[in-house]
Amino acid sequence: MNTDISRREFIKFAGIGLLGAPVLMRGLSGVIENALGPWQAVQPQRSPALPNWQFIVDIKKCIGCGQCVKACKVENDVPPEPQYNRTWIERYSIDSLEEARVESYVPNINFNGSQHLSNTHNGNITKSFFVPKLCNQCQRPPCVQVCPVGATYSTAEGIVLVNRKACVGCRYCIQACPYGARFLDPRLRVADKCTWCYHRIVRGLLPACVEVCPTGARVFGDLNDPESPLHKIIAAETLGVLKPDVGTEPKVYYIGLERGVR
Amino acid sequence: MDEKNRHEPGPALPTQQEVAHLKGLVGFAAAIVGLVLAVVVVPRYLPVTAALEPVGFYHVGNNASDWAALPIQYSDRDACGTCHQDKSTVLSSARHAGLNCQTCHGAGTAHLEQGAKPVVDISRAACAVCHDKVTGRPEGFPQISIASHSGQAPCVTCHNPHDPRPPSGIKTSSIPKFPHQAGGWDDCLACHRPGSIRPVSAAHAERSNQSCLQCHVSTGV
Repeated sequence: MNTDISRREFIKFAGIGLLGAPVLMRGLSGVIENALGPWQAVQPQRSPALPNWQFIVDIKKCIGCGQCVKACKVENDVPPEPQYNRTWIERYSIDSLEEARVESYVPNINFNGSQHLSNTHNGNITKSFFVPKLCNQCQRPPCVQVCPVGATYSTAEGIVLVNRKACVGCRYCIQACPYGARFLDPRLRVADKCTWCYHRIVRGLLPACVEVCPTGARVFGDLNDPESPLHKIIAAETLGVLKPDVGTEPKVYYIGLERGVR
Repeated sequence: MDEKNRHEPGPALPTQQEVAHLKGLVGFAAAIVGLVLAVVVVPRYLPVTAALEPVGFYHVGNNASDWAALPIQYSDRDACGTCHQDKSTVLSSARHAGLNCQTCHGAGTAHLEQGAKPVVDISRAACAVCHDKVTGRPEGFPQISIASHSGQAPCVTCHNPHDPRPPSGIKTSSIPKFPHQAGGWDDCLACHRPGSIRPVSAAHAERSNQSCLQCHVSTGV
């Protein structure tokens, strides 16, 4: 075989190939789309027929009882150790210098029984309240973007889930989440997170935490449903999201969000 | 480089050599831009048609149906009242109205489907979960200091958990305090049996020694 080729010829062919390949790809994309049908099913265009699930948390109503945390563990088989939670409660204490002190709730360990805050933290505590946290099911989820093996994804309805068969437990998503909503399941060595009780909401039920909340501090609904309790709240209350500046477009909205809560 | 040209004073026309060098530079820059276009921009945007855009970030596959198929532990809140109508009726007009039975009694599906016994926790701790005085709870939410509130009897001794309200006819402050030296008293009825010295009230007829100190708080006099 004659491999003698001049430099000029080599550059010519390489250039044609370089520019020609994408053109060929574009021609083939129709074929690819047909052949890899499932790709399209993965994230189809939002259809108005799909539910538009949203979550509202009323900080003014939360009593920090932790029943949501317990119910979540039961419903979703979350590891029993107190540091593994799909949803959790933080107690914020704002002092007179407007500095926030955050304590995390551990069922039956913190806050149960007569626990009172000391007043020695940078001046006096002027305000104290509970902030329930859970996955924000971001519309632009950084955890999905960083997953190197493509194990985490948004469903058609916009719920971020983890494919446990594909997850390699590298923890990139745990670091990427600005809300600390993910953890590594110590039993399965895969990333785990709140799914808004996906298995319940697809059946028309409420997430377990919403079911058991005794004060109605958690409200869940479908914005496309005119009967949804969300509409009344949205009309009446000022809603905020956590860390709006990071551009994740969260879907958990808070009532009574104070400055300094993040 | 030409030593003579470099040291010539004042402005001078660029030599032919310098013009060639400049042309070469411009050509090199153009080649870089062309290369970026050819290697990055064209292959990225030309073959990716609009139909492929919704695919978004790479992922191996949507297993949402696996997640959707997981079993339910907490039942629908209306499920309990189907059988326990008496309780749900009481609850519906009480201050605990709107509370899900499973908030206190635990997940209900196992009870519904396999008849497993739900949680009936009558300890003070069960009520304290919500009603103990804890910093951070909103003002106006009913809270009491569980450690000092009328003895150590279960809250349900005086309060109906389904229809909680201040117990009628009893003021906790009016419950006689334990007047004896603390410790060593295990048979109150030895002295206070009916018909003896300061007998227990007739309403206490069914009670035993074990429960006295739950309400008649030890003062340790």
